[in-house]
Amino acid sequence: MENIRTKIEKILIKSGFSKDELNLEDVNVNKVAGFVVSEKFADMPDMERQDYIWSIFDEKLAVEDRLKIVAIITLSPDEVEAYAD
Amino acid sequence: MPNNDKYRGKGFKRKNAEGHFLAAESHIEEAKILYDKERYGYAIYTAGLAAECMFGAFILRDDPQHSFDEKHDLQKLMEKSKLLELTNIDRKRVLNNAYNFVYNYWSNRYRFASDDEIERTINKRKFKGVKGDLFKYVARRVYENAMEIIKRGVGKRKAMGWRI
Repeated sequence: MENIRTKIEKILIKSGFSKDELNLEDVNVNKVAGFVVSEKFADMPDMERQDYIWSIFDEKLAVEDRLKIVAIITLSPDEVEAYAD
Repeated sequence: MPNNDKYRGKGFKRKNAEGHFLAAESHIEEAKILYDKERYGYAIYTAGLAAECMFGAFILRDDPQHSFDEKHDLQKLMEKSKLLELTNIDRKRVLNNAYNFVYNYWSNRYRFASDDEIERTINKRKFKGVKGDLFKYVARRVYENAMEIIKRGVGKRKAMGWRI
């Protein structure tokens, strides 16, 4: 059976994100958490970013798989830089 | 020079689950007081600290000897706490949004910063569709979203029958 992280990575890549923009990891028992860092989010308010990736999950994943997503943080590359300052 | 930790503060370092839980509740109340007093930077720091304490409470509940190698990495603490693992998808979405906002605008390093410095840091960020005082807006949202995490902790504690 496909691991949930691999499944989500494939879905996000098919939806237009590059592999470099994804930093997801397996957590606890078959759960996933991590970061999506993309220029796509640069002009998007926080709620819209979350709605954006969750609308992809809503469309492509069954509820039991969506419940395996612990939390995915959405950032723009500038924000990662600001955080590292 | 005496080591101050020997005489004070030592007992407050990473105590037990109950201590973390009560600290979380206390810090979120303090964040509101700071917000009302227009000390927005400290309100942001204290609200995020409340969320960190709540994650710590559930980590210690599962593992009382936990060494906290995660330090103040909110993402690692959140994962370890399992607090955002829910069975209701709608509630999960609300909490994901809440946690995302707190993560994006909180930094443990704010404890070394003045309110003005935190304001300058926040104002460097890009905001869309926010009119008026951005710093105030972020402080309010960090407080409200940290409160969602605290409520989740309170609800989970009750559901577990964990008495404090």
